[in-house]
Amino acid sequence: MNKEEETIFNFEDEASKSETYLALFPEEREGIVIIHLYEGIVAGRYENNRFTGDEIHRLFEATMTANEKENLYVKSYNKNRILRLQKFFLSYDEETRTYTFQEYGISFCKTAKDTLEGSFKPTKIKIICAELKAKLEASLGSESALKNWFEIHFEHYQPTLKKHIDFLDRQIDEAVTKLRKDTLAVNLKPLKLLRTVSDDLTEVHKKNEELRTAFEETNAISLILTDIDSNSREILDYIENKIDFFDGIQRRLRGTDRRLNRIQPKIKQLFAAFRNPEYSAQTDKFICFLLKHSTLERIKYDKEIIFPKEVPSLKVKFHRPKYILFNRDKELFPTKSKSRKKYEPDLAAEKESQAILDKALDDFDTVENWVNRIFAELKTSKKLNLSEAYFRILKDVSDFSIATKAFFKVLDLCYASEDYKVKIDKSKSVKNEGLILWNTILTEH
Amino acid sequence: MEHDTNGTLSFLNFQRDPDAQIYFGQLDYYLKDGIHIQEYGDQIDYYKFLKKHKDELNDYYEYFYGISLKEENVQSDSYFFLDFNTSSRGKIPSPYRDVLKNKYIIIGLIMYKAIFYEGNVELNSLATLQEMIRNDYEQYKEGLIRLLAQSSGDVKLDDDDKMIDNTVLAALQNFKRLGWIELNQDHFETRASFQRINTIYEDIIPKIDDIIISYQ
Repeated sequence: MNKEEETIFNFEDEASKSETYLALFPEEREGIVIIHLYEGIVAGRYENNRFTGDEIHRLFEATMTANEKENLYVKSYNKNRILRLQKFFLSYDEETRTYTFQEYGISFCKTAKDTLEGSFKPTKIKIICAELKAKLEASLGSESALKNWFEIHFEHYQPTLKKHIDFLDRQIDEAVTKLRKDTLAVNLKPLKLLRTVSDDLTEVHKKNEELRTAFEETNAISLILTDIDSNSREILDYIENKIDFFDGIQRRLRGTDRRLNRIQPKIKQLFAAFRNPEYSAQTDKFICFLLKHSTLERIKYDKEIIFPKEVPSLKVKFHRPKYILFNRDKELFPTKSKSRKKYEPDLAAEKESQAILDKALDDFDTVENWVNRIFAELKTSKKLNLSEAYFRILKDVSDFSIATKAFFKVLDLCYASEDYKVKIDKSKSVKNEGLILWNTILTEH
Repeated sequence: MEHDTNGTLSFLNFQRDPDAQIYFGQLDYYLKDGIHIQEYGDQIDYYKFLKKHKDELNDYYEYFYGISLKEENVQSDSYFFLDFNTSSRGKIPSPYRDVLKNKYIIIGLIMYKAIFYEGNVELNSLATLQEMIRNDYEQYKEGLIRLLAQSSGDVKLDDDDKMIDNTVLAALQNFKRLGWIELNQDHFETRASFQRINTIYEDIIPKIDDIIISYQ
């Protein structure tokens, strides 16, 4: 059906037309005749599922009172009804002069029957779900196959799936209604009634459990649907719609469980309440007594109800004094600051450190002086034996570290500059007072 | 009181259970606040602890406070509470005892009757309960108006309805504090300990016919 047609057809308007409405939803008398015929077909009473006009008239007559039969012209009275039924329920075959059911009539009766009968078959659900899943898996990858799945396979089973859930809720309703005021009041054996209700609810609980298992496959179907990637708006709408449907089913199942979980403890407590049936009537009298004989008394600012002297008040708690915690405000009471620790200078250590520092600075100067002297010598002589210069320094300052520092500083500077050349002759060594150096010659270009 | 070989009170043995350190401190507060403890929700651990040590704990409260720890409804879902009404020795000074206001008791009794004696097992809406109490019980109407709405006229006023509704709401809030019900905005659900309202006067109710006669 395209968009234009959809907007033109309005179910509410169409069905509201009184003639159409009566043809779709027949009056009680017509409905009963239809149900008779339907049951006849189910039982195989009619050959080839066909029945005659006489049969229909006979059934109509059976619904009429003696008074009606006397005052009305029966055949023509019912003829109009049969004509109306021919719109959606029955069709007339002129050749064989017999009637058969139209599809609408069949499904109308079937739905009504199933609803009342409450055919509860979790195993059937399980098979349907498994089948739907298999068919969905087979349709993956083809948009047209998917569309078929949504429009044909799914559509076909949806009412059956939904019906099962409605059925359980209805059963709870029925069980709970049995407990209502009037029933409990007139029932002479309330405990027996409670037992029945309790058993009924346990049964529903069990069925809900079965149904939950039966519907497990729908989770898998939802997952597959979620994974489908399609550009078609139509398919995407279908997916969303069906996922919602399955979510709805799961929600209803959980809801039924929750409802039962709320009711069942109360039923248990009802047993206790009805162990002494007289007590409930006495309680009612007691409430009336309290309401009639209690008085009002002003206590402080409010009027309080005072029970008659026979009825004590209910002490419910030990009203203890509150523990008082002392809070110290940091702004108002700042924590006292700690006194600063004073350190006495250690003059001896200070002097010692100073001496070490002075010596280090002096040594630095001495090294610099020697480096300068060596470069000055090199400048004049163009060639200098650094190994011999080392021993000269050592002899002069008698400090191994100064001589060594000066030696390496000169070497570093010479290596760094292209004006000088360093030649180290490892075969010749210069010895002096137990120290041996490789013969190191510097030349200036 | 019995003393064990070490000369200590034998009921104090419950303190040797390592669970005592975890649960007793808080549980003691709950019980003294009048909260009823049942096997439900976040009370389950406390309930189990009570179930394990109920005799010792009863001795403990009797000995130090002169009140008893009771377990009611033992056949089905039981619940525990401290029964302050048994305190005759008066170890708790009276200014520290709190009573449940009588108007809330009246509401509680009617609510109990509606749910259990009339089998409205799915009654769990505050608004519905308020409406029932206002409209459904001809036999209570006059008394409710006189005591709750505190007006004397025969004709019920709009204001009277409001007063009754407010009392019902306040009653439910008090029941919630006692652990009798759960209450979340309009939705309420009775817990096992709501049975307490039905047992408070179980010694008086069977004699009600005689009491009524004495008033005529």
